[in-house]
Amino acid sequence: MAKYISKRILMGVVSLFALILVTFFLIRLMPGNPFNLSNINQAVQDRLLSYYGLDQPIHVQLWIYLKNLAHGDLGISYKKVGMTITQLIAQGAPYTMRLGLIAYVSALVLGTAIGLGMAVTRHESVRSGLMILTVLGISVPNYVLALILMLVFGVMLHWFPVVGLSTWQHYVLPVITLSVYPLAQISKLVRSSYIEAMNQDYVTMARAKGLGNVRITLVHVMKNAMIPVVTISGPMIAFLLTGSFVVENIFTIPGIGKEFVNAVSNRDYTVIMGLTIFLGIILVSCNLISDIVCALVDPRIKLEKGG
Amino acid sequence: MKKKIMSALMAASLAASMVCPAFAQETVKGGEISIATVSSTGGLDPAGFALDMWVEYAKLCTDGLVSYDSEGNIIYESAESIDMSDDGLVWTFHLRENRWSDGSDVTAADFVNTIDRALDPNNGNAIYANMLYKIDGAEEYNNGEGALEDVKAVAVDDRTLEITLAEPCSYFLKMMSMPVFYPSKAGLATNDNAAWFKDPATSLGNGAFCLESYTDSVGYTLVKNEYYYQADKVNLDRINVQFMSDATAQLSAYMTGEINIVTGLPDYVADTYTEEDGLFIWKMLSSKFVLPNLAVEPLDDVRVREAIALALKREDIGSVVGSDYIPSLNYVAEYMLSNSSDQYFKDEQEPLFTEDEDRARELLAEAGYENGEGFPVLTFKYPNREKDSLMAQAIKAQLKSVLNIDIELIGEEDEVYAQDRKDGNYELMRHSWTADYNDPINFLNLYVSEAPSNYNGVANEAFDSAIANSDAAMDPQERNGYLHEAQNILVSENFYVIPVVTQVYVCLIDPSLANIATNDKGEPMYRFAGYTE
Repeated sequence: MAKYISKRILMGVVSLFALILVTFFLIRLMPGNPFNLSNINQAVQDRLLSYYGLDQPIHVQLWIYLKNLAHGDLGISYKKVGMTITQLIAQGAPYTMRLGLIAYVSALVLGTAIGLGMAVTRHESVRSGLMILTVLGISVPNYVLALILMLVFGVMLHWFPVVGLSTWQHYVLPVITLSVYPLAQISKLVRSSYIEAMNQDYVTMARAKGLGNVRITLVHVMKNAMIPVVTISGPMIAFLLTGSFVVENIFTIPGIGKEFVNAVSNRDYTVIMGLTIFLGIILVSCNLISDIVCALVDPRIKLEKGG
Repeated sequence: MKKKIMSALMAASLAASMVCPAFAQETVKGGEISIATVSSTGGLDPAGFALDMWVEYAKLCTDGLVSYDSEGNIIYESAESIDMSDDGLVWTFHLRENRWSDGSDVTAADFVNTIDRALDPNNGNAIYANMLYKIDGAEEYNNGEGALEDVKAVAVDDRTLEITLAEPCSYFLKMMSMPVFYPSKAGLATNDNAAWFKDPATSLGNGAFCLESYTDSVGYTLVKNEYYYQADKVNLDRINVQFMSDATAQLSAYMTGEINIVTGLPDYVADTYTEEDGLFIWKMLSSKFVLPNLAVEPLDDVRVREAIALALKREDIGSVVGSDYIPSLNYVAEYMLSNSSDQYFKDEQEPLFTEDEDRARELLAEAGYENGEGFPVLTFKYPNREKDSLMAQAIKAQLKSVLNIDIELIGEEDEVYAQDRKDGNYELMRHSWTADYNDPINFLNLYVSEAPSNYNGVANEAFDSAIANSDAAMDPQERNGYLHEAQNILVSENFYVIPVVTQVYVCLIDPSLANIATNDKGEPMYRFAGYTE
């Protein structure tokens, strides 16, 4: 187990380093520079470039960057005066994380319930109704959903505010937007693995022992039916924590997704780098954790991979 | 012997502000509003990276020396009166009694503070430092060749600011709307602390409002500045400024009532909203034009350039691109006010040229391309955004149908486009300019021979001397003559630039707010705004 985990961690570190290199060079391959603003005098632009070290050869820039990174220094923003990248992340991350986690929990709870509902219901109409909903949930892109929710529940009905995250009401629309896709995914997964588990021998055995349906479902079947859900939870949390670019922009949520979009359009190199690294760390660790959890839950994985 | 500038103009502006209909509406005290601002780029330091975000802040919280109303009349803000020496070099600003939001006096040293900090060669963020180069000693100090002591912007005493120019500059007062001429509290606003403007303790206001709190990426809140000398005219208690980048989100937020003022909305808003719903058209001082590269054949032939200018049907282009693009035959922004009359600059003269298909074809034939035959396929580069792309397609279609010439459209990413423009790597290009301050010179001096912004290689002695003459002419009438002469040389005689459209900003302002004025740049000003009930 220890060997398996350390191997996974090492792989994570290597992929992070590759990510840093690739991002660094890709950003600098973009033509132009961050200070190509139309009304700015050329001499002033040149001064800005040299102030931020952007007139140095690229390998020197990379070396300086890596050296600072080793000290945990992600640099300062070119466009947000008086801001370090660390501050920027510390500020944006809580919004993004809170939103992502709430969306994940709602997706998990509701998704499981809907999945179970689809699996156990005897009413064909209920089943196909839920089925249609999940298909819709998977196929409607979240920016479309965000705009529809905003127009219907914000602008037309005035039920919920649409700007920022200051009260609990502000969370409703963005959380719905974010959680619909994972919710649909989870419910489909729960449904199929539940049906599969119900056909297993141990269920027949439990029935034969005279256990009630509820007890069989909750205690025996669910434990096994949830394994695929745990497996996809890693990437899913990562998706929720990193994938809210659009939602954050539409609902004006000051999280890292919005920051990222701004940084790209502003050519704010250090912010793009810093956020990429930060998101990379989240992604790698989410995958790592879900791998480990799976290995703990399902002994077969340990045997195959851990040796 | 010094000349008093404070004259009939000021009396006129005072009278205007008292009877102006926008100010006649009854308002109640109190209340708060929310404003959406597109950009959180830069900061609030006038000596630093001062972009749109600063402009939004400054018009509420910082009083500069002078400003101008929508008719171009001077408004004395922090300066009570101004003297200019006979040689036009020494400008003395007598400051009025006013206090910062912490109760301390606004002094000449606070204005010098911004100027000195902007010129500091170690200040890596001072994007408008070059706007101070008119001041004697400024350019040398900024380039690291001179000393701070030699910068001739000095506080003679607490209420007297004296600025000595290197050479006469007739439009010097117009430049007072540039951030670098705004005050920042000496001793509190320093270059050592780049984040001073975020802390209400160091980020003071000398205007109607002052900073209450600042949250990165979210926005900031402002409260009424009780120490302001015009505090009795200020109605609102609090203003909440929110950074919102998405136009749809801004519009929705306006519709839900979460935001009271939004600027820069999509053009369809102008078609669906009326003035009663709060529609406000910000007539910006901007110009979008085609820039022909003078080093490229056959664009070096003035007949070809004129043929292109005459062949375009600007009304059609405007209707294709959207209602926020207004056809324009002028290079100097359509809504630029004149310095010597109460008209727009463009209305003081005959049109620079008239659209004329037949004449365009003739000119092309004279240049040796009868019916477009033998004319090379020129490229037309533009920033790859929806509006610019539509405009480019319209231009292409018109040149084909009128002159029977083909151009190849190349939409480029903003930075690539800027780089190509700088490198002269283009044949035809869509260019645009928005005025920094309300004076035609701001457009015209871009094309003097040695200007870095002269991207297409204009080198015309007559033009250069017209500009130089206008800089030295202190009489507004005479100066205006030179400016018109310069624009004639640039456009109607040589077609170095080919004007196409001007752009307006579509804004929505909560109709229950009154006392919203407009400044000389067409921008809505709401420091004295209040609810009507």
